[in-house]
Amino acid sequence: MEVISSLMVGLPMQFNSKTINNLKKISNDLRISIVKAIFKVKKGHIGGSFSCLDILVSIYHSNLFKLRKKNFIKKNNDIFILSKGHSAIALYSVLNSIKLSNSFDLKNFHKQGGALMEHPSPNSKLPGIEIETGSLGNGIGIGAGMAYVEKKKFIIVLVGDGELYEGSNWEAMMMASHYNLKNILVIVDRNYSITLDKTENVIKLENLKDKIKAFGFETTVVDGHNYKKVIQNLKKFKLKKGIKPSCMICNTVKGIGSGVLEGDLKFHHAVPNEAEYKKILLDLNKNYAH
Amino acid sequence: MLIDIRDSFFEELYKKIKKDKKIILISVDQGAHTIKKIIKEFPDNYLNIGISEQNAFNVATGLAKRNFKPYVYLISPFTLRAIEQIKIGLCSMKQKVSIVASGPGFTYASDGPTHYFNEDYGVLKNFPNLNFFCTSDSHSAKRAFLKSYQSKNPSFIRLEKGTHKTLKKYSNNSLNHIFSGNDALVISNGYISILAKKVLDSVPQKYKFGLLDITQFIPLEENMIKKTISKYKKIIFLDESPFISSINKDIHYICLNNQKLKNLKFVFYNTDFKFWKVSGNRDYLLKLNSLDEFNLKKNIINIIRHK
Repeated sequence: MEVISSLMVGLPMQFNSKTINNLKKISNDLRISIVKAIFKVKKGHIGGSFSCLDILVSIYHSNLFKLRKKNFIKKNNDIFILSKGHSAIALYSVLNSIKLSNSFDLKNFHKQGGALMEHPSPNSKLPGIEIETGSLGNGIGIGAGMAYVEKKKFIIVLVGDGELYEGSNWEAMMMASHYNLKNILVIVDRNYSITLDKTENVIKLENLKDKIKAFGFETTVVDGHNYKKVIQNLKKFKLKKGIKPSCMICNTVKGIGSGVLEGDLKFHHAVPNEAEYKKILLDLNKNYAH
Repeated sequence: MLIDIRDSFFEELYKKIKKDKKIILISVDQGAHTIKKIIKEFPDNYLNIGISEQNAFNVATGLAKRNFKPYVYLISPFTLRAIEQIKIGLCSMKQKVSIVASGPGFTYASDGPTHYFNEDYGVLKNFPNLNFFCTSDSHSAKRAFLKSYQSKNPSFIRLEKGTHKTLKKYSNNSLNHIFSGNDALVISNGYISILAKKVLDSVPQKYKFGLLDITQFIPLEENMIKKTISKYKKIIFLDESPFISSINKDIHYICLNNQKLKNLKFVFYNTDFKFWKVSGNRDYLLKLNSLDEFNLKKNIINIIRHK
């Protein structure tokens, strides 16, 4: 499987064009490795993995949180929860890119008897996989429990927008807000899509910012593919002096990076055919060339 | 002095919180007398999470992941609201969270069918790693707390309410052999064990019954059960659950797979497999299922008479 050639350890977060280009290259390489892995095993959620990948790269490559190998002592680390478990392959690829464990190499994805499943499950070989997810709507509550007793740690929970149809999220947000859990950040991968349709056609989620704000969260909306904005907001969360929990709604595009995937609902979990696969790789390689 | 079964449980929890600040009692807006002093003396170890069962178990999972020992206290039937969170967060991830489910079976009969929970064991036995404790009196409630505290696994505690004379002196065993006899062994649990003891205390002295109260369904001490049952020829099973969800179904299965036990005579008294939609208190609902004192006495004696 593809080795991430542009691996960076310890990015200085000065936002010059070189830094941004490095992050873009990491993401692009990871998208290529993801699509190759999924095409090989004929199973995987490409769309939602691509939409949240830039967010994950921003979290793990910004060095803002104690989530990297050198900090990874279970007791002392900050905590990241991938509540939208179907994007596990994106998380595996990022954890592999920071060399957290060899087990995250995507050649192990869906390997019979292996640990890298479609949805993540904690395993001694998988540091950084905190919670078993795949059933939606549980990450914020579990994160709130952790934030309640770990006030000095930062808890980041990534949820999908479609996941917010689950009522348990709102139970948890009420609780996080009531107990002033300022150390929790909920990031919404707002790609406006669920499996069969656009969210606003199914059951409207808008105005999502106002809704989450009404539940007591300090809420911002950013472009989820703009590293500078995402990282600035991560930093803002880390340095925050207020008492409210935080939410960053990241507007994203499902399947971003290839015209084959973008806007095609079937790629929530469909596997590209041979022709589509070649075109996707071509698109991704072109992106990097630019 | 008689003590409410719930207070017996929470008294043990209170004593333990004094020494172990990792215990956190999460109440789904459910009270008990002893909880008041926990709130007063250990406010940091108490959390009323509101009426939100799914969130209660998710938060508890988060606490357990950070090495805390949460006890989630709720009205028993509403455990069903959070079955997925229990299956994944507690059982699959093997987190030490204890579910303190108050009011099993028809305890809340007067509140109507939404408040009955006769199928708790039938549902929860499907999830590996979960302990299942049953309480019949203040002693078994104390035992349930201590065992759940000692276990590394998640636990479900079927917590009875009310004040009853204890069945026997405190025992650490999961099987409470209340008394022995030659005619038949009555196997029961929870409130039905209290009724069974009253009934067996009142039958004519010529009838000699044994009574076995089961206080832990999972893990079940199979060898001890087989050993106890092997001393009898007739086994009378009583349970405030339908047969399909009853621990007695599983004990019967164990017997059928044992050469020495399979030919014993087995008789079952369970609740009917249906939704009960009738007004009444717990004893009334039990009467409709022939599990009240009068019917139990009549039926148990008939079994002995008809050899």
